[in-house]
Amino acid sequence: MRQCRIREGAPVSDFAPEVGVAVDKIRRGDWFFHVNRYGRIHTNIANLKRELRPYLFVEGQPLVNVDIANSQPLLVGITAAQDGDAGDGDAGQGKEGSQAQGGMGQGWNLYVGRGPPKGVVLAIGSQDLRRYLGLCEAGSLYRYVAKHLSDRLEYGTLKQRVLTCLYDKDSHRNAVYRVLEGHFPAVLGFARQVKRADYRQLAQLAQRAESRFMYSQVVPRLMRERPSMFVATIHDSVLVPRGNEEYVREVMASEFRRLGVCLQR
Amino acid sequence: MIASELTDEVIRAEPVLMRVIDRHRQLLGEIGWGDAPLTDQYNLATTFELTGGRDD
Repeated sequence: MRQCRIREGAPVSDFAPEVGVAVDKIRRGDWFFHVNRYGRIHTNIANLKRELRPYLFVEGQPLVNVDIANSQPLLVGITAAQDGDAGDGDAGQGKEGSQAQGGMGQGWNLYVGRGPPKGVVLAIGSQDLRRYLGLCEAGSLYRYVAKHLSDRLEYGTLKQRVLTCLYDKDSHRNAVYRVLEGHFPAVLGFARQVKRADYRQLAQLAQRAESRFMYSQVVPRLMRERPSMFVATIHDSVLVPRGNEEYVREVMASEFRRLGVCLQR
Repeated sequence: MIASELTDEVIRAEPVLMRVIDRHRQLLGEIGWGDAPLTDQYNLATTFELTGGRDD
C-alpha cells in the first residue's frame, strides 16, 4: 500500500473537508490499517471516496477497481445456502442440505469460526433461493426487483433499499421488502431468523463470508500467480493497476465457481 | 504499517472514519442501526458505499 500515490488535480474541494484530510493522509504516507472482528480490512485506500480512486496510481500506472455485480446480495444468498457444519458446527443443518443445493459452497469454511445462531433453518435447496442465486449470478437481482415494483425507484436508491431490507431490524415493510418477501420467502425467512436474537448478525455473517472469500481465496491466488502486481482490496472488490482487470475478473469468477457460483458476464 | 483492530475508540478518534458513518447516519437510523456500536455502523456504511456506487 505504501507504493500508492494520488495524482495532483484530484477534485478534493468538491467534497467535505474530511475527504481532503483523507487525501492528505495518502499524500503524506500516513497510512492506517485496521482489521475488524469479522475479517474486513480498512485502509486509507478502501476508505477513499469512490470518485477519487481514478487518481490513485502505483509506479505511474493508474489503478482500476474490479468488482462483481450483485456481490453483497450474493454473499447473503451463499450464506443462506451454506453447510452449517462448515463453521464451528453450531448452525442448524448439515451436509445433507448442502448436497441438496447442488454443492453450493461445499467444503468451504464460510463462517471463519462462527455460523448462524442455533436453530436457524437454512434456505438450502429451496426453489426461491435457487432463483435468487441465479439472479445474483446473472447480476440482475436489482433489475428483477425493479421490474416488480409499481413505482420507479432511482437505481442507487433501489440497491440501497434491497440491502437495508436484508440488514435492517425487520421493522420495515416497504414496497421493496414486499417484493423480496413475495418472490424469495426462504431467503427473507432465513434473514429474519438470523436477526432474531441480534439484528446485526446477518450483516456480520456476510462480512465474514466476504473476508473469507477475498483473503483466503482471491488475494492469495493473485499474489501467487502475479507476485509483482500491486493489489489492494476494497472489501469485496480489488484495486489493481490498469491492464490487469480482465485477469482479476477471471480469477474472482473462477474462485466463485469453486463455491458452485457461476457468474454470468 | 501495523494492523490494529478496528474499535469504537479508533473510529471515534479518526474523523475520516467517523465521516463515513455521518454520510449514512440517517439511513442507519431508519433501519434501526443508529444505536449499534460504531464498528458495526461503520461496517454497514462502507457496505452501502460499495454497493451504491456500482453500475450493475
